[in-house]
Amino acid sequence: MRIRGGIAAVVMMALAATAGTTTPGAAQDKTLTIGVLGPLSGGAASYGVELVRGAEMRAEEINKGGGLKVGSDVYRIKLVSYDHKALAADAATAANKLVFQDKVKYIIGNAVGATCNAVQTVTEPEKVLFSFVCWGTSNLGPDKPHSFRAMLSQWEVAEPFYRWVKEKHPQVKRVAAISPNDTSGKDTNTAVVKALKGLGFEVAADEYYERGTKDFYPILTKILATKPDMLDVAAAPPGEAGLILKQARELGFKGPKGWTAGVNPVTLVSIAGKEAAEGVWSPANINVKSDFVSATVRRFGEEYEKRYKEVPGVIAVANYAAFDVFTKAMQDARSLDTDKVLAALTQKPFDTVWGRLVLGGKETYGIDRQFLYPVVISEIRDGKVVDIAQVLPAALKK
Amino acid sequence: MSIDLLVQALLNGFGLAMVYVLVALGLTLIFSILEIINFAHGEFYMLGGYVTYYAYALFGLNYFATLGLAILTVGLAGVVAERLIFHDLRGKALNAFIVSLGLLWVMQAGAQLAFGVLDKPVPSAFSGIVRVLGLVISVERLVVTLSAIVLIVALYLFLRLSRPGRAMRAVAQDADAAALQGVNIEAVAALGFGVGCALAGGAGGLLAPVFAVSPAMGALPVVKAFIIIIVGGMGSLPGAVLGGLLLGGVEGLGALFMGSAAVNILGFLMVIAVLLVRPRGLVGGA
Amino acid sequence: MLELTDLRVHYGNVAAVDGVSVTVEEGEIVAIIGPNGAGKTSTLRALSGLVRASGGRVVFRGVDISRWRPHRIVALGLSHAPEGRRLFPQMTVIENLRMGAYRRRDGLAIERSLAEVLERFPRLAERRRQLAGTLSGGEQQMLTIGRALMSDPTMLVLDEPSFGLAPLIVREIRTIVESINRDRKVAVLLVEQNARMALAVAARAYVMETGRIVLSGPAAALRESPHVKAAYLGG
Repeated sequence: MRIRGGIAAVVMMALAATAGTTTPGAAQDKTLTIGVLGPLSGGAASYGVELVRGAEMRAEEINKGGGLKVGSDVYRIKLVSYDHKALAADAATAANKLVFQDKVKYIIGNAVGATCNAVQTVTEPEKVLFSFVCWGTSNLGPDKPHSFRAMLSQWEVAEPFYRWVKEKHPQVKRVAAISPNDTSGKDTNTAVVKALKGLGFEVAADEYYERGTKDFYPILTKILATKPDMLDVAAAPPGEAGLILKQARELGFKGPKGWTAGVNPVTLVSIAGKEAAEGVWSPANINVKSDFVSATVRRFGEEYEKRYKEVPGVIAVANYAAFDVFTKAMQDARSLDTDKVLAALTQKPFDTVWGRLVLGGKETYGIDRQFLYPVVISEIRDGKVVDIAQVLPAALKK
Repeated sequence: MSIDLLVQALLNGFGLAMVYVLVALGLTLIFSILEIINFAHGEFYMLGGYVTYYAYALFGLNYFATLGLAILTVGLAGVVAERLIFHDLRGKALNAFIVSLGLLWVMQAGAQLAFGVLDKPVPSAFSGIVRVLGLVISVERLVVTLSAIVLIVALYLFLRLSRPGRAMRAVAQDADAAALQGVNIEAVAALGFGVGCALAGGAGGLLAPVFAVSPAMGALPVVKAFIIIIVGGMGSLPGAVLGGLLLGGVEGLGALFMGSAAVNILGFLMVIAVLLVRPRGLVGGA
Repeated sequence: MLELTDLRVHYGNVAAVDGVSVTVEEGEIVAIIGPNGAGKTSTLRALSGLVRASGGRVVFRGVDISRWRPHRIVALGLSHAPEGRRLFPQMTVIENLRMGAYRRRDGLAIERSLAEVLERFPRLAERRRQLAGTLSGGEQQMLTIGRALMSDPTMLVLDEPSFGLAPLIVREIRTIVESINRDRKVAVLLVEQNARMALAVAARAYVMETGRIVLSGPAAALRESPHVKAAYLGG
């Protein structure tokens, strides 16, 4: 006991000594802590991983470039990320930790609809600026002025996507949509059905499955019995979307396939197999390697692949862009005060990795908190994502 | 609603039922011999999935050789787990419950560290479909189901005819009496745990190409296995097969008439019904 | 052949067997009689390795087997037909008998033992395909003894073979025990609450009460002992 006490004292002294020597240096650089949330394990883990990596890349760029200059101060950016396993309860806990324990004023990154609502119960009252890639109308609104969606959602892409389908593939008349049975799934199917009806398609099926399902034969048997021309795995995450497409093919479905709210096609292809993934159209995917994307996105993709040995999906790009937009707004506001940064965010377009980006969405959500940028429609060809068209969200056309 | 659709729904339900029966048989074998419920059983299934991923998807080993490898590897892991963790817990259900829950978390977290959190795809070994009278059967699932049936029959023969199989049945029926006939109880317990885990590993290997592998993949089959065991009767091989067919049929048909959330509770409703009417299970002995 | 010296068995802090010494010579029938709860069964469980003795020694055929596990003790030639029969109820009569020969690898000799047992117990031969759980009490007891014989033992330990059986069957069991001892030169250690039957079969006997041996001697002498008469032979 006495010996251990002695060791502890020595360690304490050593710590005190090193702390003493480093403190003066640290005084020049203040630290800005920014939170990232997401599912880092479980079926939706790929979302969380991309969120963290996107944030990480931009943060490191800023730190390497000498830190973030806000007014007269220079900040080093520190990221704190927590895994909420795509569960609302865990998300609330994680948000509480970030806000009250780590004292963050900015949470840049979160995915999966239900968890966003949970996080907002913490961030809105505390005026913490919260940017996410969750889908669903309920996450944005005049009652949630501190919340932002950093990625185009089904409400922005469904209509232009199916307008394009109607123009280019007139043989498609009946469309079946399948999504997970939760907020983001319901929202996506609702947006798809609304777009389909508005454009004169027939809705063959509007189905939901429980997250974590592996065997889709039962539900697909029911859907395919309605004889759809096209199958939209609307809001299914890549792993599950891959299984649905694989099993639909096994059950004999040969029509066109869509993925309205799809991200991370690489995972989809690997799970579904090349044949079953062939020809999937998605208005939310991008291929960072294609000639079609901007040079900035392509450069981002190369850098990302070098670091993580994987090709980034749209979420990584979106969160990288969100990080960029928020830090730029801080510089514009010359302050870290969230009210001032909020004002700076809605003032003018930002020049981002996506190209020109504005905050819009008032028509759908009643408040301009949706990041808007051009929609790229891609197709999976021989296991690779090929961009085939660019369409503008309705709001961006104005 | 056409008859075709009903039959197709039933076929869908039966399609993977035999694989879940394998998982259930492993669980119930371990229960009969050690009188403990191994809540980490699904993690041995997961281990079988990863063996398949590495041996078959990455290394390119033959599909059936991989299956054998998964069974052996996971069986061996089971023996090691029994020797290191469970051998003092024979008959101590509560202690074993807590310890196996701990093992479940350790194995899941270990898998996340070792294999990563993302789903790993395993390419299908068999593609294509068979059409019979308007019904669609995927070749892959057919092979999987047949393989599972072969393994079930092999288990049956092993328990009936082999010396260690007879010893396992004797221990399951009366451990003290078995010891007095000269059965080495500790060796049988280790072997029984290994065989039980091997069955789970085989099931994981069979389903790896059908779905994909991930550290959390063990949860679903274990829930199904518990339903199958309770419905069919603890410790009964025919009971497990019957329970599996019932669960598959009910789920297959349920999916046709109900939403997917409702289908998931059908199995539990079945459990409640069986517990009320016949608590020993449909084929449960004394 | 068998020598228990100062054997002790504890369950927690309670001594079930408190310093028991018993010997059985080659080819001898020895009985332990005593009331329910005297520690007779615990003594047998300790000598066949089902429970670990907390003290004392068990020497069988000159080998100290005090710390051995049951399967090795069986292999040494000591066969224990436990209290309550303890058959494998979901196995047939034949399967139960074959389990008795589990340690043996000599296929032909096993078949010979099987034929011998079925000859000795014709009732079992009639019911060979029946599940053990469905046999009558007397048949179950015969199967228990038959199973114990299948290991080709040099010593047989029988725990309450007459328990719950009709007098006619008890007499049959007694005859069987005697014939086994006579034909096969198997030593028998018989534990019984039925003192009358035990003292009729055995050459020597021990009286056990509350974990200790209180009397011992030739069976004939014990039959005349006032204590035994009063306590066990109904006056």
